[in-house]
Amino acid sequence: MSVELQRGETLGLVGESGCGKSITALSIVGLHPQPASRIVGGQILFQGEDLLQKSPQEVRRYRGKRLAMILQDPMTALNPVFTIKDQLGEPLRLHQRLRGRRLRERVVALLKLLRIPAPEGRLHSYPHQFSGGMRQRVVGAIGLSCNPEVLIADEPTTSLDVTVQAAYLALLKEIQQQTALAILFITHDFGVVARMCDRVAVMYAGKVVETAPTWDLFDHPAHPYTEALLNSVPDVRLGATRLAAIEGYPPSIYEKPAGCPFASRCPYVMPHCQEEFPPEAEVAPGHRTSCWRHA
Amino acid sequence: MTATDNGTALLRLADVRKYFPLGGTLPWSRGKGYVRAVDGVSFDIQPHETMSLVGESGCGKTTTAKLITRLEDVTAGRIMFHDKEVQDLQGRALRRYWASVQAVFQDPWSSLNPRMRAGDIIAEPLVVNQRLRGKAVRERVAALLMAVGLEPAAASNFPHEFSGGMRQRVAVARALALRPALIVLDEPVSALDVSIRAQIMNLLKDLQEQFGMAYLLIAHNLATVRYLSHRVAVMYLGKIVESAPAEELFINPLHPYTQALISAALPTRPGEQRREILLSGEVPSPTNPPPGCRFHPRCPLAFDRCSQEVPQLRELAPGHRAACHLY
Repeated sequence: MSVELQRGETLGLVGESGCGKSITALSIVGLHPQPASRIVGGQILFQGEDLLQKSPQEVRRYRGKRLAMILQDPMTALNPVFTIKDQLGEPLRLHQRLRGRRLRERVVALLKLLRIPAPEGRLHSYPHQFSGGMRQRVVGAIGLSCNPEVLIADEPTTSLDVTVQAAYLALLKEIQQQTALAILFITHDFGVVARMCDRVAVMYAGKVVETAPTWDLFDHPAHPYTEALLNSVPDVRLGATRLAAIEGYPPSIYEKPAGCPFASRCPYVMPHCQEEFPPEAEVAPGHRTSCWRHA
Repeated sequence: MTATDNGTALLRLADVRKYFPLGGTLPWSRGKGYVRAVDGVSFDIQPHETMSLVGESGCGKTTTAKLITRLEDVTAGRIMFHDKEVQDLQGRALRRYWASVQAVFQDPWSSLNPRMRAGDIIAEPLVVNQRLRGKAVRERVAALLMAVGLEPAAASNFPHEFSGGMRQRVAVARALALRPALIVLDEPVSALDVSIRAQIMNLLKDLQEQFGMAYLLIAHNLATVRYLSHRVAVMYLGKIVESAPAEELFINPLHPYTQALISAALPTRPGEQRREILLSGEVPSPTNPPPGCRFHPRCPLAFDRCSQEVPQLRELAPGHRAACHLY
């Protein structure tokens, strides 16, 4: 798979569970499970430098500082036995060598940035004393603590309630406008994409099957999977009589279909689809897809 | 299919309350107050309809479902099933009730026993309740598997051999086995993949048409609720704040909380023109709910009376009730 992310931009990486979107994110920061998995080829270029060529020590200097990550589940992303100040202060101690009063001031400022009410009184609280939404804000504050250039957000709002999610997304957008942060937003929800992203990459069974500007993707989905996925989502604002469901199930990660992985569920399938994976073709400026209908 | 309140309700809840005591269960560690999970909830479910409860976590929707399935006992109030009080049922009558009220849970990874084959999971209610044996069971199981869109041969598979969507189909088949009058669907699609959700939602719709049971749908995703429901009740901190026919509720929401909830639902297209009502803060603790209207600390339209007087649920349009001092 190949994607690129510009400064100040939000790229959505959309796909179902098991399509490889989280592994992509973990690989970028060098946290993919090892030795269970290894990167067998390719490059991860950060401002022209290949992160894969760097030693773990060098990558550690980037991670948390210039490349930060927000994980999905704030219940497990925070350590239950350390206080909020310890956990939020850790990247600041390591990367910016802040100590004492300056560290404390920076932690309070970050909690304020993420709109945690009365931050001074909460420095010595533990994660269990916070609600889910506040915990996710703390995780966000840790991610943003060292003013990163790239933020990888892996489904940061899936475990939040609807109204809390709306507030969190609005806040993230606001922070991004202030800091020109580039965000890689991993999600399975096209609603989040429509709300947050400038461009989208759709993944299916480990491959990016379509990349496009968000508008173009919703208006003219080129890949049959994207089209079917968009049609199968009900709309709160329009009552539907019947949803167009995608029949069948995604292939298991152990099977490697020879051709296009979506062929078995695709309404437009052609004999050639089963034999060879389609090359990527540009269907409109900045809109690329891997489908034999456009090859 | 809009149901009216004409005394033919399948299930009726009247001022139902469920308080969980705080502290330990021993006599001397009690008395630390109560979590008012469900606090004066009244609604009814008509035969063949889908009634939905929506709300954020902690609003009491799942507790309400547990009271209806009698997995928990009510603290006060009455739940009537065909004019029999559910709380008084015992022995055979209770077992008959359990046979007519079934449930499908959120997570098909934990709701199916991993050591039983799909066929045995579906057959268990038939064996226990209807004392079917042998060939009769196998035929019913095959018919149920076909009804939920699986091959009869799937009966010999274990849950881990299925994908999430197929597992949820097995859970639905088990709920259908005794031909219940009501199925409680607790977040039936939220644990499933996006491309699978529409399949299961369509399946639930088709089965309702085919078998005619009522659904009590519990969900937080408003789009799912709108797609499946005939009527919707919105809950906040243990109380119903608004209830209406589904279309009416989504087109003309009256309560400020419902309005905020609908506006917070994510857009289906980028750049959609809409007014986003962002609520400050989070749902307060149900141990010590705010006085007056429970929503008033977060309500953008709150005024003096809201913090003093509890608004009652009143009918403002046919079938459309809201509990708000604005009206």
